Amino acid sequence: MYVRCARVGKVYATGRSAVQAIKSVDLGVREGEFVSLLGPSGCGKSTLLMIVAGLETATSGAVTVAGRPMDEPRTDIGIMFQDPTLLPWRSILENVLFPIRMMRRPIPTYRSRALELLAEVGLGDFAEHRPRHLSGGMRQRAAICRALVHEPRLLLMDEPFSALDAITRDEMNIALLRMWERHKITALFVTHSIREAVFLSDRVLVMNGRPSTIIADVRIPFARPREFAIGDTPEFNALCGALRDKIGEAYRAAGTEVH
Amino acid sequence: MPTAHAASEAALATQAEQRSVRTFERATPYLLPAATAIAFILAWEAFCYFSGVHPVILPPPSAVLAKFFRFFPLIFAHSVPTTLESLAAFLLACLLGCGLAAVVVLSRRMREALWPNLVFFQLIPKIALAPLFIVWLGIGSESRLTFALFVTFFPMLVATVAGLEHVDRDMLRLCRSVGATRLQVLFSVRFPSAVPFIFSGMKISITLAIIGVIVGEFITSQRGLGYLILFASSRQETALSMAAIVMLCIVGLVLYGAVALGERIMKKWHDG
Ligand SMILES: Nc1ncnc2c1ncn2[C@@H]1O[C@H](COP(=O)(O)OP(=O)(O)O)[C@@H](O)[C@H]1O
Ligand SMILES: [Mg+2]
Repeated sequence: MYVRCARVGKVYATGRSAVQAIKSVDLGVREGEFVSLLGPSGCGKSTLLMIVAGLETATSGAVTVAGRPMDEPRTDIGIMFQDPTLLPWRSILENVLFPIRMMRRPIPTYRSRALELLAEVGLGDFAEHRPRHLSGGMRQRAAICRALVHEPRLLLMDEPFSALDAITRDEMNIALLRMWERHKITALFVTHSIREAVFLSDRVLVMNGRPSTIIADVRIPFARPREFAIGDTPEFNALCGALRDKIGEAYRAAGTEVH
Repeated sequence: MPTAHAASEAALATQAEQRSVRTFERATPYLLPAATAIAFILAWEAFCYFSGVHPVILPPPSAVLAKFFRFFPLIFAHSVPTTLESLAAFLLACLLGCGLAAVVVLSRRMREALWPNLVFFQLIPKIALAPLFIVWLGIGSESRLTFALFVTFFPMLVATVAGLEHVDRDMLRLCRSVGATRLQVLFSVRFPSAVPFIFSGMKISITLAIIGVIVGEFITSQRGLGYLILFASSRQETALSMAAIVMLCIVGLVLYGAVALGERIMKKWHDG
């Protein structure tokens, strides 16, 4: 297993009270696998992802990535958030090279890689533009490039397309799959959209309410590379329906709508 | 076809009319305040003329203007130290404000140690400290600068701290995940993000710097516009005193304008 969480729990101590965000999570992600974490808002998906990223420490249990325990941020990991968090005063290319600059690696060495990545997501002509001149989807594409520029082996994504409109979101799913296939990277993807999880993943892990655990581990059998048309097949919709039934309970418990 | 011709002419006329209405609409934000100011000055002039109030009590604007031009070399000479000291106090306040803000944001310990004291210090009415600065630093420009700096730096500090902390949580996570040091985050992310906040602080600070220097000149100086205003008043030269105030307004406008211009340029850079 490339990523392994064993009985991971997290309690946030906030002043006098304590919030148990995750009760106990066991999960494994194989190298090169695309795994989604699916669950209602507030069930601890982000917390779990931040623990895997080494940005939060688990209060119980253990996390290993590539066999090494995760107790601080590591540069073999790329990360993406709901917001692209680009620096508005820097060009798209400079934004993509931001991790390289922070790591004090030689920029010229990575410049061509950054430009290649931008070309792969269709932003070849926008390298010198400022983020303000790009649409939301294009900015998130730039964020994909930034997450990949330092050649990480694990890509962690926290609802990266939740803020985008439905049409752009579909395009982004395709773009992400192409990048994942091309760069043969292990991916852990957080979402609360069932269709998105099914379309993207090899496996979908369903988390339930608070404090959360993983209540289902569903294999998605569709062949790769996937085209968006699979979303219209009965098999796809049946799988989505089954997942919906499985987690309906959890969603109702958390009082959230199902997308 | 005369009717069509007339119609098109009428259309052209309305177009021209609309255009002039639009131009007027656009100009009102400038015209209205200017007209108000001119009306006020005319009323002031008329009041002085008809009421026969003594010019030492209230000189008419025309007399102030006459003094301003007649004594321009003198007034200008006095405006130079005031301007330079205001600028120096402002720049020192920027450095001190940004520096302290960086320290406070970088280190929680330093913040805990400094912040309550800075706020407490700030609660002292600053004017009450002016005599102490004279005792400590004499009556030279050091004591005026220190006083002006003391008046000026706090808003700068507060604005900069707010700016440095106004960074997206996920951006900070990204920085940590790529191994950025606190100093890297400070200079690559926090300070550039804080630019709009820093300029809001600067706009307050530049006006406070002038106030600080003028008050300092009231107390200690032998030159500068503050000194000239006080000196002229004590000689019952009210018109000259007001002429010096006119110069002070000009100095204030120029300095504030320079900061506002800088803000505009930096905003363009910041927003991309
Ligand atoms: N820094 C924090 N301090 C205290 N409580 C937190 C913190 N972050 C998240 N939580 C709580 O932990 C729970 C899980 O949050 P989160 O991981 O963000 O869920 P999700 O990403 O699934 O919406 C929520 O109840 C949330 O309020
Ligand atoms: Mg979340």
